[in-house]
Amino acid sequence: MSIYLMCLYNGTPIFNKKRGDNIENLPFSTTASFSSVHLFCRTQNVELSATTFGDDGLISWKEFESLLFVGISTNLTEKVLKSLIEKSFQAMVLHIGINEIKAAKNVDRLKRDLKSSFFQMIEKLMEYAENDLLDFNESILCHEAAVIHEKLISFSELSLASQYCFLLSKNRIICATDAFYDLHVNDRKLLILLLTQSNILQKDIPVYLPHKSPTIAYRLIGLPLIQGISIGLLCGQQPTYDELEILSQEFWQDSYDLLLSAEISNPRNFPPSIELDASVLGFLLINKFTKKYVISRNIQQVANKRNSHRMDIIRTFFHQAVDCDIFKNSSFYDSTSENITTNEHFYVSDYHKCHALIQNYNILCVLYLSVIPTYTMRFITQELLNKLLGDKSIEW
Amino acid sequence: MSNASDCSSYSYSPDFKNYIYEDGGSSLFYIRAHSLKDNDYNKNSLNHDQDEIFRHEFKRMSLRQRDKGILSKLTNKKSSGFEFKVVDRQKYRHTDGELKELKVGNKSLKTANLSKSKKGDKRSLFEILFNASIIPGPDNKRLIIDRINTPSIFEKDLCVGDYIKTIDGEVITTDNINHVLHKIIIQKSFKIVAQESYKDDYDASQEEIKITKINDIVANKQKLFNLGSETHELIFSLNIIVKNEQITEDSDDFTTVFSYPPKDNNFLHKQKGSFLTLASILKGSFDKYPNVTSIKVHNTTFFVTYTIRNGDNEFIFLGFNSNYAGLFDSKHITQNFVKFLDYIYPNFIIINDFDQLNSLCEIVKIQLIRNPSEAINFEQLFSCPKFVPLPKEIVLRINDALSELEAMDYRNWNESLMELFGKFNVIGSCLFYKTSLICSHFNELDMENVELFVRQLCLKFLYEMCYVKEMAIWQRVYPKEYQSYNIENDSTKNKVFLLIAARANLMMCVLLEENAYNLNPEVETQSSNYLIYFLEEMEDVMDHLKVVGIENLTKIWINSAKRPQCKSPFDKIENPAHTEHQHLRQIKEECEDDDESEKDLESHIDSQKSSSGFENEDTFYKDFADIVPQTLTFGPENVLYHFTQLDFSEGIILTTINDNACKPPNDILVDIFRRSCLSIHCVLQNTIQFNQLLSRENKISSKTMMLPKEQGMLIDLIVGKQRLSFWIIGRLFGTKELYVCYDSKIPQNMVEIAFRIALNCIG
Repeated sequence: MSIYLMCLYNGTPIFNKKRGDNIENLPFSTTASFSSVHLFCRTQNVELSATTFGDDGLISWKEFESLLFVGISTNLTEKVLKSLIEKSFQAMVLHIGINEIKAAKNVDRLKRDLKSSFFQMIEKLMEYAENDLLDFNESILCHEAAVIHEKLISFSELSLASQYCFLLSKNRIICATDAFYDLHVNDRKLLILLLTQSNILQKDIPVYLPHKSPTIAYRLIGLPLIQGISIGLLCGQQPTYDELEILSQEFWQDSYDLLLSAEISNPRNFPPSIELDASVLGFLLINKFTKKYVISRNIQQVANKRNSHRMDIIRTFFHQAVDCDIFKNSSFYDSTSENITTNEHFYVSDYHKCHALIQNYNILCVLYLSVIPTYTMRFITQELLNKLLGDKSIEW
Repeated sequence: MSNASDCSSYSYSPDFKNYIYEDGGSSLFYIRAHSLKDNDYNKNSLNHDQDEIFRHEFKRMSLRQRDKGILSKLTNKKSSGFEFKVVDRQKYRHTDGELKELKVGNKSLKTANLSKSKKGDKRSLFEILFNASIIPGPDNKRLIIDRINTPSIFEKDLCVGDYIKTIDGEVITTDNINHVLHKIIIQKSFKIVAQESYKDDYDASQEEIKITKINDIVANKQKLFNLGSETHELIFSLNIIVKNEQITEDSDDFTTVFSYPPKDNNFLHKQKGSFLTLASILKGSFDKYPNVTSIKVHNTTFFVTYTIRNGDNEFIFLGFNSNYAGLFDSKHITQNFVKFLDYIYPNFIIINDFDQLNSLCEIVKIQLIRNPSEAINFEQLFSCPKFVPLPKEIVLRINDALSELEAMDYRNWNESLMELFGKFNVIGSCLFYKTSLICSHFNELDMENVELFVRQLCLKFLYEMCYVKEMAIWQRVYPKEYQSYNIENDSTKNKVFLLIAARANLMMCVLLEENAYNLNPEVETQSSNYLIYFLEEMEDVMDHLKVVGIENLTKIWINSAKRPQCKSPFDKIENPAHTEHQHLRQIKEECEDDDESEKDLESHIDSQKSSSGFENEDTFYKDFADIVPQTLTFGPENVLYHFTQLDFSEGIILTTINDNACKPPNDILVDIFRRSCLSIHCVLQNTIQFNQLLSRENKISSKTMMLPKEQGMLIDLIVGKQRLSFWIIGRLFGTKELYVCYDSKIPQNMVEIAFRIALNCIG
């Protein structure tokens, strides 16, 4: 897999990033050609949107305001590449707001305004395109979530500052207030990314929310609680960081044990009380409604370096089979009388089998050993879904 | 061999001779076809000769059945006493026009009253029963509906002019109508099959269209294909651009050799610079070629495909309007079109006469217009013909006939044929019944080329939309795939001819190669004479096939839909929203149907054996009855809805025969199936490609690569109040891809069995 992502303003590059093994930087002439082809088409009232090349190469052009984004990838679905481009632009909005982008006249000024954290964020997003789901927030399942959620709500009320509160274990959501889930998933994704990648001690960062408020800045505050666990919140001018820090220390003091036991789920990401079937190598649980997911592997199965490979397979399965709308462009299906839903998917390959079950707003993709008979997969998947969601103490 | 046919060709001097091209006879194009009268897609006109033969046969059948003495005593009853009700109605598309089948329920079985009520009633029994009158047709045998009174159970379904074909499986003639009627009124239910009236088509509107050059197809497209008024939007574009060898100061680096539509109203031509630039950047930076570019103009997306060859000096850009072709279609159409051009031209980049190329582009456009991109026709994307396996006996006979032709073992030996013998080698031959391949002696490469030729020249479409009376085509072709025995070992020096002859529904294609040692410039011009002989010979073979009944047996076999087939699950419930759709489904539902078609075949064989000299009717019958499963599922309900098999090694597609009756906008199930197949196909193709790569390079380049050899999806469809849940599964078997769609109620372990049966039941 390789990705090139570049952004140009009137033909001058703002950034030009690459990701992938053994790939070279694109020379400026090439970058300029990609941009000039798009410009040439535009002068003829033609919008150049994408080109496929080679076996699995794809170039995608997208213009936001007067910024041209060009993404070039191999072995990435079109949906993911487009989502990456969209998020890169939104990361820019997050940093400087839409007004400043619209009013931009000078490339150097624009580049100066975009702080280094923006460029780090682009790199991180490119990494996410490969080993994360760009359109979902990663979270964990734990028994403590319900209790912690209660506490989080009272913290949110007590702090009088913000209804947008979320509790993170590394970059995974343990729980969050309802208002936070009301934010667009892209806003959430970028906020969490910004918070976790930032190295500054006192995390008090002005942010524009690309969907919710692209013109007015909020303050994003990050408060570390214990090792690995931190709380994030959005607020206005008040209260100050110091006030919030003191408040949070006092408030969460007596819950450290609770937080610690939630942290234990990491990196399994689901409670130790739930056992996986021996044939299960890993699973991916997605909530389509709140746009969050949990990914995990079965650590009882032989653990070796291929573990991340398994996660990649589940994600590929999700992108290729589950997350594609093959019935989208048809006038048949949008009439009200007819409705079509896909409830299950499966893949059979020489080495693995995958099965996805879609129930209500949940999608559970499970990776199996290849020895399992195809028809038994669906029963195990169903059973696992019941186990994961049956426990009332698990917040989902 | 018998030449007792009334329509034997011996007495007839072929008309096509006058249309042989003057350039030494390198090509001939001659088609006589009848356009269909009105806009009804489902109507097919009837050919006179054909009809004659059928009538003879049906006459024989009816006699046979009367001899059997299955007739029952006459009883009478007054009309008001009958409570007939149409419980089910079906329409089939038949070669001879639409068949309407009504299943009529009979609530009252008061047969005793019939005689009483008949007294003093001058109406015919038919009129008493159905309140509609019938008259004998022009042949004095068949019965045509003359008047339908109200109320009548026929009101909704039949119209004046339809002829009553069978009642309860018996072929109806003026002789046996009353017997049959008496028989059915004591039954709880019976079936009436009526054939749509054809007389209008036949008399007035059967305008014969003569096509003597490719451009005639384009000129007559309105008549032939029933196309609506032309739109001005760009639907298809072809640009051929070559790099100039010598760059002079006052000229560009590139020259446009050909542009369709003409440069001035082809905005994709104006964009050529972008496409050339992209191609050059990608080549320079990634060492890859671009495949497809999508652009948007005034809210319409266009796909532009690239074909770059001859050391990056020749660029062929094809443009498609996304309202008419999807991304996947565009790629396939491009591949097929370029292959086809390579086949018929030695090098189409440097041809002098672009008129023909223009016509060919027009034909592509015609085919695109007919198929809006909303409806994905998965099976037609591939360059493989749709194959229909026939019963062994028929196949053997066709094989015999083709082999005889290939061996040049002609029936009418004379001096000129003797010369022909040494003049050409036959590379192979194949036989189509309308659009389906029924026999092929080609390897897969030739088959693909022939299929593309037939398809790209609209011949298949012609068969779908028109009644083709006669066809005689030859064309010098340039198969690049194999080199033959000429001295220079240059495929363009080979003189290979593709000959296509058609008589009504049979179409035969033969590839001939002129013997290399015969290449003599002096006699070159004469080859057209030999080709005429050969075409006549081919027509002879087809006449023979017709005379011995092969054509009709094929027709019955295909139309009786004996193959496992898509049975729409929605037919069962009367759904007002879908009655409109239902009539398009050529789907049989109940066991009686199978009985009936079997009876048809049975009687047909009986009627055939006297005339065609089939000797061992027992074996023959067994072949018919046993060879191909009639349904793949057992039990009261059908659970297999659809299947398709792509076989790239043999270059054929197997699918349900009657799927063209499920017209795309109506049959949701078929559309879902095709869309899913397309999606699965892409995944499986990826696996194939990667496996090839692996076998070459022996290293895994991408860690996320998963190579599925099977993909399945469970789909829930809610139509009105009905909910239907079914699996669509695609599986890769070597070079075969098999797709099935079946009811989700079936335990998944049974699927294995289904797969196996489907694989083995290709006849």
